Amino acid sequence: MFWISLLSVRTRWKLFTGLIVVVVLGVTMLAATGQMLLATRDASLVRDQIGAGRFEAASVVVRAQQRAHIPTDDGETTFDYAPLLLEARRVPAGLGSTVDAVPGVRAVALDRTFSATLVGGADGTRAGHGWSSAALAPYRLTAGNEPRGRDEVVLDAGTAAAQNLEPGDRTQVITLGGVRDVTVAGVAQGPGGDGRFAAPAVFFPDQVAAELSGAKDFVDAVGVFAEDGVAAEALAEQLRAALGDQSLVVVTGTDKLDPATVSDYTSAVTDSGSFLAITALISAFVSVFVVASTFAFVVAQRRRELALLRTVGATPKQVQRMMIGESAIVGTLASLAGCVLGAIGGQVLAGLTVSFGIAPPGFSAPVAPLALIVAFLVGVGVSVAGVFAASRQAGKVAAVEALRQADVEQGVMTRGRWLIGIGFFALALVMILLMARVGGEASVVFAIVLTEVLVVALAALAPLFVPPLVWLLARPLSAWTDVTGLLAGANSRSAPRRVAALAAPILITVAIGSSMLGVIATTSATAAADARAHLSAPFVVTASSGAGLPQDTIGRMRSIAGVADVAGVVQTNGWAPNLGEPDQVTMGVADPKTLGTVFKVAAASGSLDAFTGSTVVVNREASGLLGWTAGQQTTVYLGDGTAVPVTVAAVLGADAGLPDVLLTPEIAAGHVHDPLTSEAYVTLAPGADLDDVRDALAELPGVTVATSEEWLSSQSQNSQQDNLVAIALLFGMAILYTGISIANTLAMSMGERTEEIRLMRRIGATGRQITGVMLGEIMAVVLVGVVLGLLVAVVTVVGVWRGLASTGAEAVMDLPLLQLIGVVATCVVIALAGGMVPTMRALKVTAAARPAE
Amino acid sequence: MFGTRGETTAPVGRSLGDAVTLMDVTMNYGTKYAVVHAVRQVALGFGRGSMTAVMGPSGSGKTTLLHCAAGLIRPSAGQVFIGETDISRLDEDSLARLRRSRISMVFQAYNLLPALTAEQNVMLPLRLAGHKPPSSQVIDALRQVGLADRAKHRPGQLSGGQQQRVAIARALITNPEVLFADEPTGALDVHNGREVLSALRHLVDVRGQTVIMATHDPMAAACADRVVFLSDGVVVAEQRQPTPESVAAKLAALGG
Ligand SMILES: Nc1ncnc2c1ncn2[C@@H]1O[C@H](COP(=O)(O)OP(=O)(O)O)[C@@H](O)[C@H]1O
Ligand SMILES: [Mg+2]
Repeated sequence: MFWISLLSVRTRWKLFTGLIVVVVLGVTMLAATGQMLLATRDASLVRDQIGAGRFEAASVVVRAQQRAHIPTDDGETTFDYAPLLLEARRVPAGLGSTVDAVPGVRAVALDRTFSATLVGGADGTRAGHGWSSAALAPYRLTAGNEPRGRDEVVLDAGTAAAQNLEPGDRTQVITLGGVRDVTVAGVAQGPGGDGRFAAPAVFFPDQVAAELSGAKDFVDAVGVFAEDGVAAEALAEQLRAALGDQSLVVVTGTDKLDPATVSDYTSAVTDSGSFLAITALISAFVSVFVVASTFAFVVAQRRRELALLRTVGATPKQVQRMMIGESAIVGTLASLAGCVLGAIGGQVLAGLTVSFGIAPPGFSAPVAPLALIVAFLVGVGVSVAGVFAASRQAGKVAAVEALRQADVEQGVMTRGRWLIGIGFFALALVMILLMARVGGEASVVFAIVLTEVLVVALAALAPLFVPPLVWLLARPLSAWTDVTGLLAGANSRSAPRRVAALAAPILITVAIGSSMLGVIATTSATAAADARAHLSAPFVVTASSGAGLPQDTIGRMRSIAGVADVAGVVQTNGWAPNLGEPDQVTMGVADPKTLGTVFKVAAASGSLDAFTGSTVVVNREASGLLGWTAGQQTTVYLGDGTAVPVTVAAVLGADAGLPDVLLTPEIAAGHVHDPLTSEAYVTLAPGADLDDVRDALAELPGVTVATSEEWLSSQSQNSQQDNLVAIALLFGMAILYTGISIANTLAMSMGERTEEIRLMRRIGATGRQITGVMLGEIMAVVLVGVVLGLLVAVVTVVGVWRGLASTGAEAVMDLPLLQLIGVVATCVVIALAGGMVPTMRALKVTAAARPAE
Repeated sequence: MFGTRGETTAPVGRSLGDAVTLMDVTMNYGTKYAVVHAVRQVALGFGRGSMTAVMGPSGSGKTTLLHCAAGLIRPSAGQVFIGETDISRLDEDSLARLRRSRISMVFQAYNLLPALTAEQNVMLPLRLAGHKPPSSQVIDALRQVGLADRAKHRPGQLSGGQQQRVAIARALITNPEVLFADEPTGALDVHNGREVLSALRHLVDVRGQTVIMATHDPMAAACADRVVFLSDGVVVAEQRQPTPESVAAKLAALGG
């Protein structure tokens, strides 16, 4: 029977072209996203992308050991947990001369890294360095000269270009010591000019750098240049022996780059990886779904042809084998092509994620054989599996069907459809119940899977929804049109399987797009509502750059007339023991005196008055995770690895957007390198004039002043904006694919209908009337897809809303109407554009018979 | 040209009593390999209120002739008149209007839209023309072909003969000047075929309808008032008041 397969691939080329398009693009999408995902997971690949960065030119680098030591005891075993420090440990500046004295060392350069951001810049905060460390990269001046005066800086080329600055220009830099007016003395080109990752850099004269780093007598690293002929490794050995200090590390090669920069970069890549995992999950689902349903659709389209085979004596098994043979041929060829496109697509996509700001600059996705192999196997597997199920039914098609007048579809709701529909529906119900228990964040992850489960359930049950939905549409249509509405309605209602199959790609597009938008809107509305409920300060002041506000600025805000108090939380990170194992937690340094005045937070247990000295306050969610209660004694580990025994003063009644654990300034002093406040909350003295205070605040350099209402709405807008960009990329890819498949299935559906349209022509239908009927049918398809897709989205959003509400916060459900309309409109436009193909073909059908008749 | 035995009077121009007139109609199909002369210089008139059978072996050009006469295809040369109208000059939409008002067609198979009931199928041409016929008119058309009780059935629920009769009812409802039928009994058994033929005959006898039917079945041809024999696209003979035997004999003589 194999030769028949080959022949039918040749003769039914229109149908098969449709299939091939769907499989090729599906496999392309799988391979491309898989390749990207692997690139984010491959640690050594990611490590290579940044190399040794600012330390490229140094032979050896000496710095402090950057690992914390947290003894853990889970009840059975004790072991040493050694995570990377969250606040870098430094070495005494004197180490430089010790190192310099070791034989084989030609020269040393001290590296200081500290907080410095240009006002208006949004890039990494720890960009400040002393000019002498520029030699370690090296950074070479391309314009101007080195920084000499106290107020002179040299910028790396990327930063200068981004801010449009040239030597001689004046600008402002936010440092720990406050906002400084500086002059750009020069611009230097460092590593990363070849498109690789380059952290932003602001170079100060060494003396100034020492002051600004906040630790005059300490440096972050000692860079070592070897004498000519001395190998880096050999010199490193020699240094280790000479220094003999366990708290120091002597490193070469890519290890020279400081772990903080490496971990910043890797976590940026990992973050984009979790986004890409969602993309990969969705695109895998979309392509599997579309490929499988297209194959099943084609089998249904060919019932007559198959019946004819049966009349000449083919057994059901032979028919099934033939169809599987065909799908194997089509699947294999198309998957191969898809892999080739995917290998290129992965790189294009990597470039796109970088330019959309999802992945850090320098990220790339080289061809990954594993991703290609998996995509290929999935492509072939799904092609065959999609036909397998459908062909068992079709193989049994009665021989007489070949001879019978085409009839309305019957027995559309097969047992398989019921089983899949009800099974997945039950699964969805279980997930919704679970979402109410797993809490906010987990329920968002659940939501993605829930959407997909619901899509499968509704796609299987779709034929049930076709008649009532078409009835709804057909009533007004037949009233407004001559007979075209009636015909479109009758045609659609009599072919629920065809309509359901055509609606499937619209269903999945609308479902995924609307769910994502709804979930994002709901989570950010909930976060905003939570923040609003707990913020009582009238003004929120933020830094107008990516960094935070220095203490100096906070002090100046306090001295403004009419300001009662300024409170802020300095953000840092640390660890807290959780059942013997340390969990990384977000920490905030807060002034106990002002905590209660700017935030409307109350202690659920314990008392905020007890928050002094060696005590901490824990927010609601973290107290649940860590199992802390008020009055409990425990140990927290600060970002630099210091263990601090503390008492839990209070457990907050809400999260209020505060970090997991709040520390008193006494505990944090000296352990947080960059005590910058991301937001300062300003309360007013009685009788103070709002506008006057606002104007006075706004006059401070490098700040942005907003009323708390403005700030809250800009916060939720920003988070939505970020998400929308990501969604645009992800959704853009999926919608392009489903759009093509909408056009594709519509075009394929025409083959079977030529006779019907010819007949209408013969009875005297004009071109306009045939167009009308086709349009009506496409509208029916769109209606079914959109209604079911929105249903999926609403259920998903309700699930997430319940999950958010389960944390105790007041959850707000938000369905962004405009955005949803956008999604639906996009689908409608694509479906109509796709519908042009079959309509044009329908118009070409003439009343004259084919010669065979 | 026509009628070798001189037993008929051939219309040289147009006769006023004719519902359809073909004037030197030629139809060539250009294929990849050669030009097929499906119909060559046929001149025929079909009298009003009569039933004419176009007879000939498979491939002799019957369908092509009918399609030219009904305006489904444009002849390569010659003219076709429906009544006074020269349809070879009409554009596609005018032809569509012509098809739903002045002529009707019944084909060998696939005459009905599967999604519509018998009743809806019958009223379709009128609805396409923008009219909404009273249901009594539809039922009446169905009654004329003996199917008044099957109005709500879909084609899939009807026998082949019943489907053809529904198609005839639909052909009737516009009250056409001519009804073309291309092998209307070709896909039917003897019993069903006879039902369809008597329905057609009934139309001619009772309503004075003009019917032009292509067939290769002598039994069917014998129902007509007149038989035109076609061979290789040329009219080679003609009989009036045919019997199955005379038609079969003529066909055998022609080597069909
Ligand atoms: N569309 C067409 N293209 C090419 N040749 C055709 C076409 N339609 C019919 N023919 C040829 O024209 C001739 C007459 O066909 P047709 O009118 O269908 O004959 P009949 O109906 O008597 O069987 C045949 O040889 C047929 O192959
Ligand atoms: Mg024929």
